[in-house]
Amino acid sequence: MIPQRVVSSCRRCIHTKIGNRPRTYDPRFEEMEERVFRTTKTEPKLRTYVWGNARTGALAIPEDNIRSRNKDSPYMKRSPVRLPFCELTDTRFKQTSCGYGFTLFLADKPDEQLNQLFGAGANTDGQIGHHKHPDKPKVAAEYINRPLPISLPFRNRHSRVLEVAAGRAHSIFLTEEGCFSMGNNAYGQCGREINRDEESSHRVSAVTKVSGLPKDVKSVRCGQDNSFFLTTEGKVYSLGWGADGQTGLGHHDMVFTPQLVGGDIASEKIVDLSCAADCVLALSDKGEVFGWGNSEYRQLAIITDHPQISVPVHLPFKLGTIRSVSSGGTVCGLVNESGEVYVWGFGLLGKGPELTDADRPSLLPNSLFAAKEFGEQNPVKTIHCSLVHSAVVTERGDLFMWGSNDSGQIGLGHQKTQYFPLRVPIPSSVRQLSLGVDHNAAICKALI
Amino acid sequence: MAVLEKAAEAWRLLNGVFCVYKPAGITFNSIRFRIANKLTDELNAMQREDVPPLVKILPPSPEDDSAEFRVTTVPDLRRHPLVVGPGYTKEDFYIRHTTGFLKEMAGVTVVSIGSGSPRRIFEAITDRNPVCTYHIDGKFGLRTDDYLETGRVLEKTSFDFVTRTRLQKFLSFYQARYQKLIYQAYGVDPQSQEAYEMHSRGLLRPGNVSNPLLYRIQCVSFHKPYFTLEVQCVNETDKFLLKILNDVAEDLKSSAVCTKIRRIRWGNFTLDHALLYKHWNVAGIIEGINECGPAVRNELRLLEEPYLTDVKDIPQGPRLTAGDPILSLSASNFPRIGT
Repeated sequence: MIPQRVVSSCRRCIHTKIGNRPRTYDPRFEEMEERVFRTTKTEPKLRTYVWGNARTGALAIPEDNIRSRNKDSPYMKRSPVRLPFCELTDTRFKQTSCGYGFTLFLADKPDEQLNQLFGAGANTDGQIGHHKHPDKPKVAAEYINRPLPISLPFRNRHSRVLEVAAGRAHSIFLTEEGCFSMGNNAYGQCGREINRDEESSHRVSAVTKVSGLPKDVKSVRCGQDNSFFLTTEGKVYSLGWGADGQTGLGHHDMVFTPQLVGGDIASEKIVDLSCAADCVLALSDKGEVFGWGNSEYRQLAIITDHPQISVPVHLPFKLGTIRSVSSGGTVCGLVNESGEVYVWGFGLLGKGPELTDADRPSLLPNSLFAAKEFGEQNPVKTIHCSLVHSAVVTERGDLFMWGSNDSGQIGLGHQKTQYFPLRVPIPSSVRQLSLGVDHNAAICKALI
Repeated sequence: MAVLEKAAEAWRLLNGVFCVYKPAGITFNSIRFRIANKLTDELNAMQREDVPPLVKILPPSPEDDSAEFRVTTVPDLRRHPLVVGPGYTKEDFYIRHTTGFLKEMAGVTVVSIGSGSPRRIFEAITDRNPVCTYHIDGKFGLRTDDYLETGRVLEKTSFDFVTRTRLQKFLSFYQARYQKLIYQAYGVDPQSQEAYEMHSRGLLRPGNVSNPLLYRIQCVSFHKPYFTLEVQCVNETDKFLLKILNDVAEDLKSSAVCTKIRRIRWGNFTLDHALLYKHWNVAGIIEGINECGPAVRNELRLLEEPYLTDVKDIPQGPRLTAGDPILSLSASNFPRIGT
């Protein structure tokens, strides 16, 4: 009925317009287009929700929309909103990663679709590539408020991106052709030689292929100014800033080539690793936790009183098999096999305003996450900690958050600090969550 | 497996708390008559208790030679069924059950039978106002005077523009607003240690009867024009549940009527425990009492937990006002293709 033909690309977004537009204005056409838009608009099972600070454009929602909806606080979304981009372009994101003021989106890649990787937000160091300003074609964009495709220099154009990770001002992409990096390289976190004269700005974006890595890299993670690479054998390679020993290489220097991390994890198979700032926690396949890096907030107090550890050490918690572990700026958390959440460290631990520091893991009561009334079980699946706020996701997909809320990043619709986990009103079940420093993104599955 | 044959044994076992699935269309008050009638019929059809024969001591008759008293037994006609009537009448059963809703509502209803401890247990657990879960089925496009499909139609509306996404968005706002209301009801600062202590003890719940409070609302099925809401609430009334459906539809700039409403959970009692109408008999109820044992024990355990009873009035539920930012979230605000 409607000719499905791409006729031109949209001025404001990257999506394309479908259909024949008549030369003369015909109100019936507008009506028809509107109807087509409404009826053919797919309601995909996988959705992307974003909330938090929108000042840098990291929420990938055009600024004027935010301002028109929320007049009193124009630059933030204080409760989760669906990303309209996905519905309009029929793009399904399968992974997101939030950095410091920017967000990376990784989409499913059907064969006909070429764009798989998108970025939005601050591009001050070229961490989401070189992009023209959407309104001024001759100017490079420093802040991008809509998802723009990021292209990587692939040999084969059908190669896929497997995972993305975002740090303070750099991005790491795991692809079928190896690992690529973009952004700030002041500490060697991009895997290229540190050059003090290197200009780091949105006008220049250097894509580096990280060399010196084994072929079986399975997963990538970013700390504040460092990067980690996990292989299928469970080995960890790290590079970047090491002033607090967060590279785990036994020294406090900067490294720009990936090096194998030794210490207690040398003989272990590491399956997960978490680092938001400068304390690193790693999880082995046996469910044991290893840590290194900063311990100023007594994150590693169980084995040391030193403020820094530069070699991975085993943390003997005796809390059963650990399933998920997360290290934020000052708060650390873990989830064991029975779905219990333990937190330790300093700051907003989630046990009310009175508990501000804990050397040892402290249990968050399970009744915060499930209605004890019914004897209902809602075991926690994963924990995510960021610099000032934290979140847990339960098996059922419920999202609970707590922490500092200056930018509305808790998603409860206000900006007051939340001292204990409270359910965030997301009308979907959360599958993958990424916490940035003041904004978040979640991939959710529709309930019905 | 022992087979119950004697009515007296069955009568002894018919003591306890169980729950039934009330079908739509019968009144709540008729539940106890229906159960009592059925039990009376069945118990009377069962084997009656053996009546011991009457022992008679006969004096020596002058006609007989022996001067001895004679002991004989004769049937006791004083307790003969034709004399005393049926063994059980429906007034013998002391049945209590939860009530106070429209007859159109179906679902889990807790019933107690027996005047001793079952009655006390029933009163204790119903005084606690447990949290209930409802499924409310709605249909877009109509508005009636009593919010039900059977009511007098007041207006017809269009609903082409209603999408699952927008419905869920409104529902999550409703839920978030009621979450705030809970703290308001308790007069507790959500940013205080006290709020954490209260929250970590369990669900925040008003102890005495006050305005309804909603804990969770979500859409579990959506096939336009039909949709189903799952609502978890306390202190609810039938009007409150119907009003929610109406309000949600009005906020979506359409209207809806309720086609079905059923309770799928009453405290610890769920649909798994509930006896269907065909099982409202002696065997079914005795089995039901056994199956509901753990649920009753859970309810009794919860009685010991402290909860605030000094809540006077929960403020009325939130209504979205015209100036609310969410109302400006119409489809026209979405960036359109080609504009």
